[in-house]
Amino acid sequence: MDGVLVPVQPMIEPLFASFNDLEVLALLAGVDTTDPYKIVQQTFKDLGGRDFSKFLSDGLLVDSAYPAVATTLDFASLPSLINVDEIEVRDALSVGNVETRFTANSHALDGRFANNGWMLECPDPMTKLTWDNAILISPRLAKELEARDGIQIFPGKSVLNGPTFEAAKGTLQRNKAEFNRGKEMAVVAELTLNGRTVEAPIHVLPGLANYTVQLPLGLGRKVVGRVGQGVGFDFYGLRESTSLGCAVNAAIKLTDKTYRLANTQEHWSMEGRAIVREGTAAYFAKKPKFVQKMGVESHAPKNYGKYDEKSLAEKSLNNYRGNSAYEHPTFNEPDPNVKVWDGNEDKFPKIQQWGMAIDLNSCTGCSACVVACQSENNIPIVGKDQTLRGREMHWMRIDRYFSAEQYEQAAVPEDVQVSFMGMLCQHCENAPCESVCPVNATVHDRQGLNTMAYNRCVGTRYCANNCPFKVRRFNFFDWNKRQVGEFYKGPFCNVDEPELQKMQKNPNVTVRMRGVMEKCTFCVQRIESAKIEQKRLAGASGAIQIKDGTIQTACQQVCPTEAIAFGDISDPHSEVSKMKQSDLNYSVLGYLNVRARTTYLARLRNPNKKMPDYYEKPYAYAQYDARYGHGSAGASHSHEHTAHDHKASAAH
Amino acid sequence: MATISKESSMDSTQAALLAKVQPAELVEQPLVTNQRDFNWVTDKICRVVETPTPTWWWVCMAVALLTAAFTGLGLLWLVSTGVGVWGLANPINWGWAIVNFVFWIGIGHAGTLISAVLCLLKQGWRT
Repeated sequence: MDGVLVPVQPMIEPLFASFNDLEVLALLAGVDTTDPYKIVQQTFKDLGGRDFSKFLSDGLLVDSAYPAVATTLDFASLPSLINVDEIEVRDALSVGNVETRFTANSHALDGRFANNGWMLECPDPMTKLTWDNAILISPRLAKELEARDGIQIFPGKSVLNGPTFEAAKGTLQRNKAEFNRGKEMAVVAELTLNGRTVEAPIHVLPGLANYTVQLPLGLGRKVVGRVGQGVGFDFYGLRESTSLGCAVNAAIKLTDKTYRLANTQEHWSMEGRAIVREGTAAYFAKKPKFVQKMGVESHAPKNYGKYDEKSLAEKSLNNYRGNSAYEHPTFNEPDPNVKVWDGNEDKFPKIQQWGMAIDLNSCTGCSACVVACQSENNIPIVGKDQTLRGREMHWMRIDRYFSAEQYEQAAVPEDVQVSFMGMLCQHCENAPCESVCPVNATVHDRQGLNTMAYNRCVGTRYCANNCPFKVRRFNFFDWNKRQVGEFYKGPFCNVDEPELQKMQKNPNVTVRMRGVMEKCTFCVQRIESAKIEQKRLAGASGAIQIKDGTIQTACQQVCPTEAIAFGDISDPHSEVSKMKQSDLNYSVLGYLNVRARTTYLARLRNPNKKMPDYYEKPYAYAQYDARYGHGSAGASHSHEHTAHDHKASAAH
Repeated sequence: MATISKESSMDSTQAALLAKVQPAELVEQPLVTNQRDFNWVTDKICRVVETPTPTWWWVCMAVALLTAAFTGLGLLWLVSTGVGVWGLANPINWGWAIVNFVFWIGIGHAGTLISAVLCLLKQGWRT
């Protein structure tokens, strides 16, 4: 930032006998010598450098920063300098006169990443669309277009959603909250702006301004590489230099054509369940334990029974049976059930127990973790066709839920609040996937990790069926050795991985073949290399406990808001333990007693009382409260109940 | 001697019983009706194997083989490509696979059930 010169090393040998940027610049400048190394040496000498190897070892050229300049700023004249372009709105916006906004696409930015399979397959944070962009319109505009053009936009044609007997009774409503298994049959619309027309599918996005359509730029490139060919729609043609950001007087017209959009989240409503728990900061200050009183588990006996008061460290090491009917595996070494080691427990090193905490307050849903995980763990891309079939391989997904003030399934709400939740393998201590595997391919280790032995897996897919979080991914085809679009060709296509793809793979992670199950490993390769390094550092001292913060999972490392913490939960001073001891900490579907090692910190919103859209409870909480909470018709007991009250009433 | 006398006494009671009941005479049915001769019978049986196979038979066989070949081709495609060809996905991990499994298991169970019922009712096996 301050202009210090640093040496930049080449990352990789030139691919395909290409030129690097220095060579291109030298050729353009007409310099005689085009050898990059010599150019760098020469530049270094010209800058007055003497010791090149010192420059390399220091990593910077000392005293090469720009000189500081003293300046003053005239604040009074600032307003006159800021140029405010007024947008001339001739008529009020309506269904016949919509405003268009051009935004960068989440997959390809302005188009520069349009040939990047990872980016194309990473679902858009808001729309959850992969491999496409669409004209985003508001629910109000969609309703008015439906009425005007007589074409149905909203999904809801399935048998369950039809005018059935149940629907007539009102017990089953037309559910507009979901698409058909990731196959979103989007209506194609013609968007005309200044005499130019683009045809593209429309996607209804709650929360958009009523008569504003959003046009994500960057896809639909005519000439692009292998994976980006034929992906998306190009809206650059509508854009003019006078209206780079937004334009008015656009006309939108529905056609009778449809287009399949690959949407990875077919259902966007939490249906009032306490999946993402939210509250306001004021409510939390008043009732700090409100998160623990949400969900089914708050109305059930404690999972840990009489051991509930034990510390997190003890719970994580011993995995107390609590109220469960089944024997639970212990993570303690030596096993306290095997009496032969009695009295010698201290001779065994304490096994660190890995856990994760995700702070939903910080998560913005940007999905960087999804791509980081894909890159770290050799996760293949599967293409649009396979994504449509629901076979995307991401080990981590970001669930995005909309919630509205009124809980209503029959219509897509216009004004919504959005909640994001990163969902990955929860590494349950009592993992439902493990108990059903007929070949012991998914097993627990003593560090509390739910591990996969790929060599044992025969692909019964029992585990994926029994996983309550639906985070297991199956290799339905040989994703790595086949190319996108050629999966059904069997032996009649290229059956080896291209050289470039081989180079991209992480050598520390197994590349999975066809027919095996896979899932998040908590980046076990990073844990293991940290353990090896710690053993090397410890030498004979025996201090093989990895320090907190040494291991970062790929998702944690890349998270721009540092929402993810990972570490040893048997150490009460680790960052993750501190987060888990927060009052906001909860397990998703905690009532299942699977004892997830991944827990979440509930989200607190802080609405301003002076604002017109002020709300007492976040919509997600209000919906929960209305359906299942203390305010619902089914619940008879008062709001002021505490855990002690429950115990007292049980004792009477 | 005692047993023989017992048997003879049994025979005498049986004869007495038969005389009393007077069962109807069982008339042996002719094996070949319409007074066909051995030549006709031989011709009927041997024509099947000794005359050339008719064309309609070959046509039917070809159709049957083609139909049966779908199984082989399907298996070949499945093994060379992957179970993705069954149209499964996450979370519908078992669609066709479980339907097929339950179909065959169902047939097996039905057979076992019928056999068990017959066995319990002491029906003689006809093999």
